[in-house]
Parts: sequence; C-alpha cells; structure tokens
Amino acid sequence: MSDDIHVFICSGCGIGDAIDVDALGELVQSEYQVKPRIHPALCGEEGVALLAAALAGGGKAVLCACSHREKCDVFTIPDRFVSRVSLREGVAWCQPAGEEDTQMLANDYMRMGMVQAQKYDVPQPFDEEIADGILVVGGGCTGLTAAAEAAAAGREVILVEKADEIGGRLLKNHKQFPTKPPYRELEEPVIIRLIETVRSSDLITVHTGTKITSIDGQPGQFDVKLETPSGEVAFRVGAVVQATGWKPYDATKLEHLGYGLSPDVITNVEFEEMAKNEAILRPSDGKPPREVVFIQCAGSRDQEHLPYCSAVCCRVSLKQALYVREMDPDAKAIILYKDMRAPAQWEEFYKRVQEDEGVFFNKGDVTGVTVNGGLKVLAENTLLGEKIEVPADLVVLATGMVPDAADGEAIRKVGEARAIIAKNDSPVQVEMANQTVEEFGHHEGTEILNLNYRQGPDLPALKYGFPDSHFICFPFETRRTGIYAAGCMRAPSDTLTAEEDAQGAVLKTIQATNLLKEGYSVHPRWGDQSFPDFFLQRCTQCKRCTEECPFGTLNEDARGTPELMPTRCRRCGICLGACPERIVSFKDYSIDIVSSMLKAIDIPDEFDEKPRLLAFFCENDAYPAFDRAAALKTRMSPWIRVIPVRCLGSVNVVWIADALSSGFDGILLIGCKSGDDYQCHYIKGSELMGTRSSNIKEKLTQLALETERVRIEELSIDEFDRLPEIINEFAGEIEEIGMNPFKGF
Amino acid sequence: MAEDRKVIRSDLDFVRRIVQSGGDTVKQCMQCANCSVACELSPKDRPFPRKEMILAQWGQKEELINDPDIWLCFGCTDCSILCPRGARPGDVLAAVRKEAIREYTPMGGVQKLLESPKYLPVLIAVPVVLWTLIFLLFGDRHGETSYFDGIFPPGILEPLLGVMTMVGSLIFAIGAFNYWKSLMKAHPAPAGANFISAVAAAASDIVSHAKFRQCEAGESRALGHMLMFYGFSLIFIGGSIVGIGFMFGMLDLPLPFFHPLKLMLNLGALGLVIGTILLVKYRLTRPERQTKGTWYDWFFMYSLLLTGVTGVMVEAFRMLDIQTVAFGVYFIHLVCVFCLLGYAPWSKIAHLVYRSVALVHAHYTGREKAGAPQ
Repeated sequence: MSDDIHVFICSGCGIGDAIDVDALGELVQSEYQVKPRIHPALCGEEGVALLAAALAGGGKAVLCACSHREKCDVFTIPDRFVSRVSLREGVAWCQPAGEEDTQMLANDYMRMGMVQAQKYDVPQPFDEEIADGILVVGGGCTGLTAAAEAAAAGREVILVEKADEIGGRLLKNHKQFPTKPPYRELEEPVIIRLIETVRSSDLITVHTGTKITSIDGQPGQFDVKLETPSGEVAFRVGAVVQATGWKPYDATKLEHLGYGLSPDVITNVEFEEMAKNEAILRPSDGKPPREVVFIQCAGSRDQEHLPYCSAVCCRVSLKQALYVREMDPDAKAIILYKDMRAPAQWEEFYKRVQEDEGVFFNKGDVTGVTVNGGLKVLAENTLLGEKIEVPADLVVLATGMVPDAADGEAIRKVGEARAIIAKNDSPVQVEMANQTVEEFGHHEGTEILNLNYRQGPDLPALKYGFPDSHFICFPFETRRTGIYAAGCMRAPSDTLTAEEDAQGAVLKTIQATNLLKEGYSVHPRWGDQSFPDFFLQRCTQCKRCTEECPFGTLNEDARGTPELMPTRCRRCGICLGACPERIVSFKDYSIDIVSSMLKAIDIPDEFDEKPRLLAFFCENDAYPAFDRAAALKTRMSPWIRVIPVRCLGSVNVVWIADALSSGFDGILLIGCKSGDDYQCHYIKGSELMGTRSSNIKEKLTQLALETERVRIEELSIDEFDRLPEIINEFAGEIEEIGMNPFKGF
Repeated sequence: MAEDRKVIRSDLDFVRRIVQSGGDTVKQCMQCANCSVACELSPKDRPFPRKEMILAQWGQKEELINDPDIWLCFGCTDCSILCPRGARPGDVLAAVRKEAIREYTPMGGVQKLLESPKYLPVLIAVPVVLWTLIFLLFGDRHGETSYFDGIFPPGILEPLLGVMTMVGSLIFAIGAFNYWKSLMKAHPAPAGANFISAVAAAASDIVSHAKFRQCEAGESRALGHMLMFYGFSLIFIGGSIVGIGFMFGMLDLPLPFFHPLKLMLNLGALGLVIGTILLVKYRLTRPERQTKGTWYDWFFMYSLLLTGVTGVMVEAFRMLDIQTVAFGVYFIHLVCVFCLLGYAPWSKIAHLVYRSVALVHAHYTGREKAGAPQ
C-alpha cells in the first residue's frame, strides 16, 4: 500500500476569498513536494470523486477545507486516513480576507495537517472473542425489566438477586400509582407480570439468595463468579446492568418528626406494608385511624438528611391518601407538603386525588411533631401565613430513597489504609490511614459487584451515594465501561421510569457488546479502533496512569506496572497526558504526533512582532464552540493556532514545554466545566489539568518565564460567544508581556 | 404552651355541603392565587377569594362563616373565568354564603327544602293548602261578589301577609343580630370607628350598585340586578303601604289605575320582570366553566319572575274582565308570593340582609377602605 499523501484544497465557502489558495498550493509543493489539487467545492460529487479516486490505491489525504466536525459523511473514505485542515472555520470565517496574517494562519494549519498525516499510523482494532451475555444484578422492577428486555433482544441473561425471591421492594406494594391514561386509577403492582415474564424465559437464568464473589476481566470478557445456595457458579458475560435498587432513608434519624417517640409515627414504607396486609391500624391501640397526616419531604431536601428530592414520595403519598379514603369514607388524609411534585402526566393523578373530598392538602413547613397529649403535627409558613397544629391519629413520614449501591472508591480507600496500617512503616502514614478508616470504614463489607479493578470493587459514587456518571448527557453510563446503572440506584425513580431505565441500560449493553465485536470503542468516542499502547520497558511504576484513568481501565501487577484492559478503555488519552515518562501513545494520537504538529508551525522571529499562541481545545466542548463562533463570523486573534485534543486531561505537560521552547509566546488550554456538575465527557479531564497546572507553573518559573503565558479555562459548548473574548483577551495580555525570549533557539 | 397556633380540624361534612351546594369544584383549586389577582373588588391585604378557597378545601367552617369577605364578593365570576383549574371560586363563595345564611338564620334547617327540586312539591303545597283553606273558609264560593275581593277577602289576606312579613322580619333581625355579633367577635372594629358613617357608606354602595360595575371579565349584571332590586323594593314598599292603608281603612281596594301607589306598583312590576328576565338570560347563557347555578338560586329567580309575571297577568285579565282566568292566575300569583316571602329568611333573598350587615361591618372595621379597588 502506498504511503503517498494527497493534498486537496477547497476554495469554496469563502475560503478562496480570504486566502490565496494558489499561494498555499505552491507552499505545499515547495515544502512537501506534493502537488495539491485545488477545487471550488470539494464536498460536491465531483470533489468527493476526486478524493475517492486518489485514495483508491492507498495513501492518506490532507483535506484543506472545513472543520473536521463538518461533512464527515462525505469526507469519510473507508479504511483511509483523511487529515482535516480547517481553513473555513479556523481561518476564512474568523479572519479578515487577504491579510498576510490570514495567509500565514492557513499555511500553519496546512503544515499541521501534513505532519499529522505523515505521523498517522493505522490503529489495530481489538479482535479477541467478545461474549455478549448480560449479567443483571438485582431482581427488582428494574432488574427484571432489564432481564426481560435483554432476553427479548435475544441475549442470554444471568440475573442475580441477593434475596430468596425475585421481585424486590415492589413485592411489598399494595397498589401502584397509575402508569397509563387517564392516570386516575391505582393499579396492581407491575411486578407480578414481570416475575412471570422472567420466569418463563428460556434465555434468563435466575440465581436467588446469591452473591457475586468476583468479576474479573473487561467488557466483552467479564468472568463472573457467584456464590449460590447450591455452590459456586462461574461464567463469562459481555456486559453488566446494575439494578440494585434502593432502601428507605433511616427514619430513626427523624426524631424531630416523632419517629421512635410514638408508635403512631411511621414511614411510608411501613404504611404501604399495612395497606398490603389490609390492616391500616394505629400501632398504639390497633384501631383504624380517622385522621392520617402525611408529612412530605420527611428528611428529604434537607441539608441535614437527604439533600435531594426522591421524586416519588409525593405520588406515593397521593396513592396512600387514597388507601385511607378507601378504608373509611369518613377518614381524612391530610398531606402537608413543601412542594407537590407530580411531574408529567401524573398531574392528572394529583388532580384526581385532589378532587377527593376527604384528602386535604396544605403547603407549609413542618416544624415538628408533638407526641405528648395526643399526636399533633406542627407547621408554619402556610399559604395563609399561619402557624398551625394538626391533630393526627397516625402520622406517615414520606421518607426518601437511598441508593442500595456501594461506593467502590471509598471501599478501596479503606482497603489501602488498612494495608498501610498493617505494614506500619511510618507513624505519619499510619495516622493518616487511621483517619481514612474512621471516615470511610462504614463502607467495608458493602461490596456488591466485587470487581477486580485496581480502582475499587464497585462503581465510584457521587456524594449522595449514587454511582457517578455523566447523567445529564449520558444517563446510563457509569465510570466503568460495560457496566450500566439503572433504576433507583442510579436516580430515584417510579416504576415506569425504572422500566424505561432498564430498557435504556440494556440497549447500552447491546450497543457496547456489538461495538466491541467490531473492535470499536464505546461511547463517547464510539467507532474509535485505537487503544493506548504502553511502552512498559520505560515504565517507572509511578501509578499515575492507573490512578488517574477515570474508567479504571488499568489494573496493576504486584509491582505497580499498569495492565491494560483494552475494552474498558474509552480512548480519552488521560493516561497519555498523565505519564511523566511519555510511554503511552495511540497509533493516531500520541506525544510525538502532537509535538510534531506544534513544531511544524512557523514561528516568526522576535522582530516581526507576530506572536504565536498555541491552543489546546477539548474536542467535546471548546472546539465545537470555536467552530460555532467562526460560523458566526466572529473575529479572533490571528496569532492563535488550535490543536483539538481528545480531552484536556490528555494534554501532556511535555507539549507545553515543547511549545515554549519552540518559541510560542502563550498557551491557551480550554476544557469542559469541572466540579460537582462537571461537563467533562471523561469526568475529570479538566480537573486533572488543573492539578497539572502547578507542574506547568513550576516549569515556567524554571525557564524564567511569566506564569501568565499559560492559561487554563473552562468553557461549555453553549458559551461560544465567550470564546473569541477569551482568545482575544489572552492575545492582548501576551502582547503586553512581550515575546518569548526562547524564540529562535 | 402559650404558642399561638391555630388548630386545624377539618370539617369533612362542611366540605361535602360546599360540594353539594354548587362548590363541587372547590377541591380542584391548586392555590395559585389567580382568582385574587383577577378580582376587581378584592383588597390587597388578605385578598379573597384565594384564602376562602384554601379554607373551604380544608373544611374550616368556623372561619369561613365568620369571614365578612364572602359578602364583599358580588358574584361576577371573573375569578372563575380566569381560574386555570376550573375551580370556580365564584360558585364556591356563593356556596359558602349559603352556608352562612343557614348558620345564622333561626331554624336554619328549613334551608334544606330549598336545596333540591325534590322538595318543590312541599314548598308549593304549603301555600296551595293555605290559600285553598282561606278560600274555603272565607271566600265567596258562589261567585256572587265582583272581582276577587270576595274570593280572597283583603280583610283576611292583608293582615295575613302583614303577619308573615313581620315574622319574616323578626327572623331576619335575629339572623342579622347573630351575624353582627359573630362578626364583631371575629373581626372587631378599630377604636374610633364610626358606625353611622359605616351604615351610610354601605347604603350608598347598595343604592348605587357601584360594586357590580367593577367586575370586568364577564358581562355586567348591574342593569339586571338594579332593575330587579328597585322593582322589588317598589313593590315591597308600595305593597306594604297599600296593605297598611287598607287595614287602617284609608284605602279602598282595588286601587284605580292612575292612583300614585298603583303606578308605583306597576312601575315596580315592570322593573322586576325585565330585571329578572335579564338575570335569567345571563345565567342561562353562562358557560358551565364560569358558573353552574344551583337549584337554590333558580328557585329564587323563578319565584321572583313568576311573581312578577303573574302579578302583571292578573292585572291584565282583570282589566280585560276575564274573571275565571284572572282568578286562576291570581291563585298562582299568591302561591308565588308565598314562595318568595314565606321562605325568604332561608332563601337566596336573605343575601339582602346578610350582605348589608357585612357591608356595614366592612366599612365599620375599615376593611372596605383598606380594600379600595386597585
């Protein structure tokens, strides 16, 4: 196969007006000895045919036209590499036409594209055998739905349930609130039907009373060991759905609402059981209650208890109010709420309950429950601004949901601390380890999945105990590839949402295993066939990569050398960015490729007064924002040269050092938002860059350079209007600081 | 505990009564307060009808019947038109007013007869039996006497009506007194409040019908109500004078057509009939979402209308000298008059008294001043 590089220059979409494409063509010829083809509309039929014909016999192409995010459909040639040079968005649309600086910018982008094409190597996809069975953990509403849906899609399913029967919490439900139009009548719990479906499927194997002993391996090759009542069971699956559900918030912490002080203060879960047993009676005297007060948000949306809303408690109380009314037409159900949340079609159900003459709604802040001298609920700040007390026969606390999940990272921390204590090397370390054990010790023994992952035996958790995922954009994704969270352990849900969740998670498992069979990466770089290559001879066992990988891709051997699990990898390149020895590379994305690209940029000497700024933009938010700003024809500084990166976390500090020593005057790094509501597709990319920035500052100081020469920003995709401001302001600042003294060395 | 907390005990029966009395939508209220914003009459401070909707949903009977604001509403139903939930606050307030009448009027249980058409035969039977007895006992059954004087001798009829009016007035007076006492206890007047000017202000409100004109969203009922109100007043006052004058021998019946009292009565009848027809038309053309109307209301409206219409017809047939028809119609007219006046203390017409009391109270306590329309 020929390694020839074919260059195409498009002059359409205003490129020809802004840039002298002939001059650019001559430059290609003189610098790279390639004769480029210039065409007025490369994306047209004729242009695409030209491209296809040139690549028919092999080789790579450098396509100087629009951004790599545009027209991917027409410019994708199977099995061929096309390096996209953004003359349209990167130059023509954000720079004045015909200027010398505009032409220089185009020249540099062309050079970067040429180098990228030269250095590009064809990725070798992972092609081991991929299992496509699915392990479903949890036999409640979500788990059973997941199993049934996966089986319906023809997948073999192994369902694990720790209890002695499947059905989960819904087995204890008397009724469920409506799930179909007109959303007015209570329904029999869906769980009975689900259990039947699962039991009758040939593709589903159910293990009850079972624990997971271990899960080894990686997506497509998960080796699972179970401890069942009839002994150990081992098998291989392709992907996992975790649907371990929820548990009620511990009501013993709600003494201020009378729980534990009077037997007649109970939780909604306890009330549901009463209804299920058809015995709604006051625990204190066994008489049917005449006035039942429901307290909403009992321990929810409360910084001292659960800070979040559990989404279903309002509808549960609406349902349970109807139980009260069905029990006795003269009984009253009184609902004290902060906000009544009956989203979507359940507004109809809310209206229906409201219509009931014996259900009373009052908005207010419940301040307490007194139990001496008759049960009374105290509230204030009602709609009429009053302080009220409501006498009650029975008080039902609408408590929230706590995920029944384990925090893998916390468990790992305890494990590591215990190891340090056992080793007893340094008193300071032991002291710190003791603190860790004290803080996280309660996580010990909560393991569910028992993953053999260096980063912990379960999914990492957010601060509320729900598994961390990018749940705004990608709801079922977790930080463990091939393991998908669904149902109440992912987010508090009603049965309908749980069922939908299960379907979504199962689709993800199918998508993942199917992509893996093709050797492709899964979300978000789906279709990527590359994976990182570790040149282990030079590894110093610093563990930075195994520690920093957001997806637990790397295990470690006893010495701490990384062991790659390729199908766990999401190809973000954070390991590449982390490695101080620079031994991690992808065939199409490496230290060398990016270093060579930035070195290909022409740096005018100090006296030309043409500063050069290098920008690393995250391809997920910042780069699209850059394209968008250009599409709006916003003027941006002509000094900037942008290199899209997979994630800001994949930026290796050596690139910055290289850029500074090559004579760049400033470096701008833009990643996605970090923090609690992070937007990074790889969870902690920009956060990691923040940590590495101290190294960068050190480097700058060593070089006797101003620390302002490197700037790190966070930007979300919708802030495209801010991006030109950031660039121009940075350019202004660098002009003020002056030229990099290393120019020309 | 010295804490000032209101004990909430919801009265489920009261809620049911509201629901059955035209406030069937009360529970649909989601407490958004659009009604209070829509209302042209509602004061800025503690505006109605939102708080009444909340209280009604919760079955807070004591507070509601002691709430003078229910009478500051003139039932224009602007709020109901604009209610996003179709909770018809206007109708709910009407139902609450009915409950207040029941509560304060002696023998409030009588009101039950006015709530459903199923009791209509009883309501009609009472005057039919009464008038038949009078006819049988005192009337000239052989038709020898000219006109009705002998059939229903005014000598019997007028004192009877007089007694009825006085008993009714007494019941009203007790009700009004009860109500005033209750209002003053729940909402005392500030120091220095002037009772006389409060009465004058209330009277001015009533005479001018100013409140009726402030409602905007719906078609105005001001003209209809005014004609009806003044027509009724003319007949009531004129009729009373005629009755008293006759009993004291100062007037001979029937009055000649151009007698000033006769003219006054005829003018009143005209106003009453036209006004009532306008109001009936208004009620019949309202969409259900705005107001549903209850039998309690309709009974009052039809009593008024039929009284007026039959009164005019009697006069017409008398002038045309069609005696037998005139007699029959006169009998019906008397039945209607009884239905209107005999059940007045418990019927919708009682609003005349209770609203007046509430208006005086509102002016007396400053509620009306505070509530100057925006």
